[in-house]
Amino acid sequence: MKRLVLLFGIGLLLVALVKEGLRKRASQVPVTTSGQVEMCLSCHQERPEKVHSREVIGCSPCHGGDPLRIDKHLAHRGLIKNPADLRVVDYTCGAPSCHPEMPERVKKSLMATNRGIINTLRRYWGEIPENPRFREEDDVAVLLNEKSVSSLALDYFRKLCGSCHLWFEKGKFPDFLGEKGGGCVACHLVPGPKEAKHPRLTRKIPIQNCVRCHNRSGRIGLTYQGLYEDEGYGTPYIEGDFGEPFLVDGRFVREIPADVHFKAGLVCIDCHLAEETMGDGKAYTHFEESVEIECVTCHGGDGTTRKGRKVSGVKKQGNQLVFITKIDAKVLPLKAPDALKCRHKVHRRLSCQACHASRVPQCFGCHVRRDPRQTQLDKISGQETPGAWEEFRSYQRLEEPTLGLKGDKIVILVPG
Amino acid sequence: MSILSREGELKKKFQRLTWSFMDPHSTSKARTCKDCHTSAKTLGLGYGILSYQGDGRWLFRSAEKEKSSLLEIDFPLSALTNLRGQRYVYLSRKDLRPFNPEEIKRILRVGLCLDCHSDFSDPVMRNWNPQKICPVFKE
Repeated sequence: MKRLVLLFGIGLLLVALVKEGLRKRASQVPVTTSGQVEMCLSCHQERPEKVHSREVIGCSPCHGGDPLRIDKHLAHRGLIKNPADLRVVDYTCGAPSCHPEMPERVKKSLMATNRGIINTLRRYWGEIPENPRFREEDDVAVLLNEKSVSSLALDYFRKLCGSCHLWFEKGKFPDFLGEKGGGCVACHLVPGPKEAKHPRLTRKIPIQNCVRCHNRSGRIGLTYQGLYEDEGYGTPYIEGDFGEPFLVDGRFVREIPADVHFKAGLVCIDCHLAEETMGDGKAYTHFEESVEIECVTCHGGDGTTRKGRKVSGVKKQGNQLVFITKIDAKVLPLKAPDALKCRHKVHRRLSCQACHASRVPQCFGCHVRRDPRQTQLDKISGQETPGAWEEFRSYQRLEEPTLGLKGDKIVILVPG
Repeated sequence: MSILSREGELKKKFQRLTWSFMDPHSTSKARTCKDCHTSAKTLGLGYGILSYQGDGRWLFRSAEKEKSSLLEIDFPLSALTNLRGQRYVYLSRKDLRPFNPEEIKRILRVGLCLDCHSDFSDPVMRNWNPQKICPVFKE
């Protein structure tokens, strides 16, 4: 009996020794500069940008997993492909030692809630009272938890508008939709060098990231760059095919004069503050409550917005105020409004845009049809559901703006 | 908006035309004075031709049909309002409105002067006085 136990013990020991001998081992134990063991680094060669460098942060604070494991399946348990997704961001980008104040701010921002779009749409369609008020429930985060679609306007929103918000899951949807959304990385991600094997996070948001969404409705992202989505004919024919350039979703565009700020090298984030784009901690219904930059903030002002915040690009050089662009650090002189034409008492009600915006795309007559016999992708739930929406228009023009009044200010009015 | 039935027939429909406000992000040198002070489109009347009838009266002939049975509207699609102050469309905010008839007339009256007094380089425009009567053009 004793011999049997001894033999079993020796066998067990041998098995353990062989298994231990075969176990994959790292040649060294990688440790970040903060002293954290990050076994991920023994396999992974990816190199993010400097501020999130592998040596300082490692992989697991962003991407989860088990940094103490070397076996792939154990190390990858709980792995997060996109740490910037708003569903996980409280524990990743928003961790106490990183950007703890941001997740709450961003989730309240209009780019996350889409409250303005939802509220306006439901109001236009007569589903909620005409008199606008703040409605907590007009929020993509609420729609994400809805078990069933409760209204026509919301069905329309889910299918035709539902890809332009920060809750949209990056890479989940096909074609050009795969590039959209992703929480923080919807804006902050740019391709990295091939050898880095990791995209780069940046505060210098390129205009292309903004225009992935801001290209419909008012089409400001296109107009700003000098592009006009025309009637869609695609002509002239060049070498037998449509000659017009087109967007990733197939819409044809033609070149028009770009905004002077674009020509000068300014991108969206040069004017629009972090508090406008990522939220200032307050929940708003409409964009005009959130937007605080005005033309006069820089032109004639000292760079202070209507909410009292400073535009970082406005600097003093000698006795002169200049604007320094974020992407290229170009130094541009700042001109004050013309003392006679702009400040004349007969023009006291005019907004700057009323005169200085010389063209605006205008879509007259928006026609919408829902066919229950077909299905369409609900971009909020990710499910193909019954009912397909189609949009048409009566006609579209690139034309001088129509003016009207907002309160006591003369502003630009457009159909839509 | 048209909602079809499972048989492909019209089950429900509603119609509403709404205008909103925006900054088009197309900043450039300012529009000319005539661009605003003589343009029916800018003033919210839509595409068409404006002609002065004398005694402060204006006539607007729309380039579009006044009524469209196809669109089921009784106003030109590009118009917000008319010279009588009738508002054709909804506006997206409570504090938005088209110009009223008095404002339209006031703006157009300046346009009558622009052939001779083209811009603020002219002292008549620089010192604009709405009470002043033109000694040349008979209003």
